[in-house]
Amino acid sequence: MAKFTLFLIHGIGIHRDSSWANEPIEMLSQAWQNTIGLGTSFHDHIEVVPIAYDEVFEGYLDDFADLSKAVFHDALDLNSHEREQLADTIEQNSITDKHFLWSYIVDVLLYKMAIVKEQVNALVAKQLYQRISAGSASDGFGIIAHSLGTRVINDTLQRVLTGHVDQSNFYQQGYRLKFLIQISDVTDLFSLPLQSDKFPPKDIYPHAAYDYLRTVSNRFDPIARIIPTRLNHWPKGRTSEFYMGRSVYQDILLDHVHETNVHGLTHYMLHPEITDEVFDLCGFGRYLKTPDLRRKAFPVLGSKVQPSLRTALDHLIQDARSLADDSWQTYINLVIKFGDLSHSHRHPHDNMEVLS
Amino acid sequence: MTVKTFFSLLLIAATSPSVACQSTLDNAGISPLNSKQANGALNRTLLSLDNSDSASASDIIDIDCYLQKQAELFPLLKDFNVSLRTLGDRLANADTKEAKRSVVQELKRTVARDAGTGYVQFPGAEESGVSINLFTQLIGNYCNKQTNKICGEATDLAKKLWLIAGKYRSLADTLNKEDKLASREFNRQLDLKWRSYRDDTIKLWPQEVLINSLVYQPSSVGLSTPPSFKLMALRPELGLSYLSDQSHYVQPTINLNLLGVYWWQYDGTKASAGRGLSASLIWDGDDTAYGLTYHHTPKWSATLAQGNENDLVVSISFQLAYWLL
Repeated sequence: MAKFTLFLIHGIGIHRDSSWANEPIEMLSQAWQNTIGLGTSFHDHIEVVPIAYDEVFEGYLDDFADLSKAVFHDALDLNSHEREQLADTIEQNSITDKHFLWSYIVDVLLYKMAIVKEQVNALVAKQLYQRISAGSASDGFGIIAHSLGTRVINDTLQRVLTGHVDQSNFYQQGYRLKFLIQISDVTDLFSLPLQSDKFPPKDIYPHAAYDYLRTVSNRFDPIARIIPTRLNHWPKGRTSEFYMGRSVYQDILLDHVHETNVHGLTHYMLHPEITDEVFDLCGFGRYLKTPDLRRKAFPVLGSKVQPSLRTALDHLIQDARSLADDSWQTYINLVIKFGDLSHSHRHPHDNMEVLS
Repeated sequence: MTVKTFFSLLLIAATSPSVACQSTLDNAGISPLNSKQANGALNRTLLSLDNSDSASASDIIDIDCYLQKQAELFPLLKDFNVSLRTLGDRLANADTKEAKRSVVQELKRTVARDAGTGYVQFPGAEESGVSINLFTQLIGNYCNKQTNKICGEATDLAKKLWLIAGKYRSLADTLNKEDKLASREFNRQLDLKWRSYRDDTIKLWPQEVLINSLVYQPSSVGLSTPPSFKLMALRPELGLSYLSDQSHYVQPTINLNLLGVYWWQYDGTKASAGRGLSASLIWDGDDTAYGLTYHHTPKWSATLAQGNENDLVVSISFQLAYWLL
């Protein structure tokens, strides 16, 4: 059997090339060292293939910028001093990186546009197919998608699944996808703001598109919790089925806060429940060292959370567990009021200290 | 020897109990094991990265022969042995593209394995196939703390069932070659076509992306190809205009394409330069004129317009985004 192939699909933000996945891959590798009792390296058993589609969004943003420059280049009648001031302001606000702020908002808006969506789906399908078709139908493949990537992969797999066998429908060519892990699932979020979704998710389901689905969210992640996963199109009873010794569907709800941005992929991957699930689905569940103990020992509040906010956050977590499903709103209010809840950005190795 | 001949021999062998088949999978020297050793041995097989998952028609005959003999010792094999043979027979007779695809679908649907849980699945009475947990149904049932031969045999069978599932799944690799080649080409062309749609024709403003998305009808199944037109709407350009009612005649203007269409053809994957027509407004800073714009390639356009006082405006506009940026 060849190595297991794990595709990683990014969310919103700037992901110009495959290097975007370096940090999550490093986190998986570290988690493997700490949790899998095989004495071998993560890369000996699992090959991670990052998928990037941000170039489509970047292309359109480039076009908007070019067209605007061409028409309005001299429209702003500023003297050189004012120009310098403007440049300083832009630099101080850290928006010199092209499209930095735009990328976060416009990616979502652009993906709602059919001509952009279809191009993204074609690009993702191409990357998936390149890797899958290079392997054997007996190989194992799984996908982790994050944020916008959850909707992108849902749409793309739907397209692939319904396509003709000689038009990259790898399913009809004998390949199977073992699992899809949707981290901070936004497949149903696209009905906002007008409760209408021109291309509603068809929620591709086992056993046609993959054997197992896992949806993962954090109670305080607004992106994931505004409209939680619905699986409207699944056949009745499918969510409670078992297949070859595993539950077909699991919804994993976390509530840890280690940094302000609880939506980030790397923040989700800090939690041993996620990395354990990844390794288990990839076929290494039997080698997990004391999974229950590690999960219990994992601190819900990270060491970088500001001391003055720890009590409030602790209460919020306790309340959220017993009460409301809308605790993300309280969390957002906290962030608005206090700004950064943690001292500084987390480093992947911090987690490993906690785990070990 | 053809695949068909192989299977003819197989059928003879299967229907003639007096003929004892020989399989390369037969293992004469099986060591006795206890449950701990058995679990360790199976784990090593499931973890192995040796890629032995390739199969030919002769392998299928070999496997059938092996499973027939093992079924005498391990009755659970009877659930799928016949189904596997039927699948092998279909494989041997898959002469047409459609027949090959049908077998691949059957393989995909009914044969699976999971190293994490130790399950293997083969075709059987149930639609999705019959699954066996190698750890519980073989090693768990036949092994204990005592070292014994039946445990060794059950472990050997468990390891081979794992490999057999891989071999069967890999049979699809020999049947899907044409479709894989076609798919790679399809993907390549589709990607190039989408890139050409954006790069080789007129660049879109945000409002035009919205309007073009509203009118675009993606394919209801499969991946969609790009359209061969773009709608233009409220599209500003810088123009150099001749104004008949002005003494200096030629001056820069803002030309606004109110609504129009730009179309082209694909030569393979590349969009031709294309052309377009749009209703336009020209503004010289004071007055406006309305007219018709002809777009010749994405790089420039010409407008003929009439002003408020029947004055004539002729304007040339270069898309600086293409020339300078």
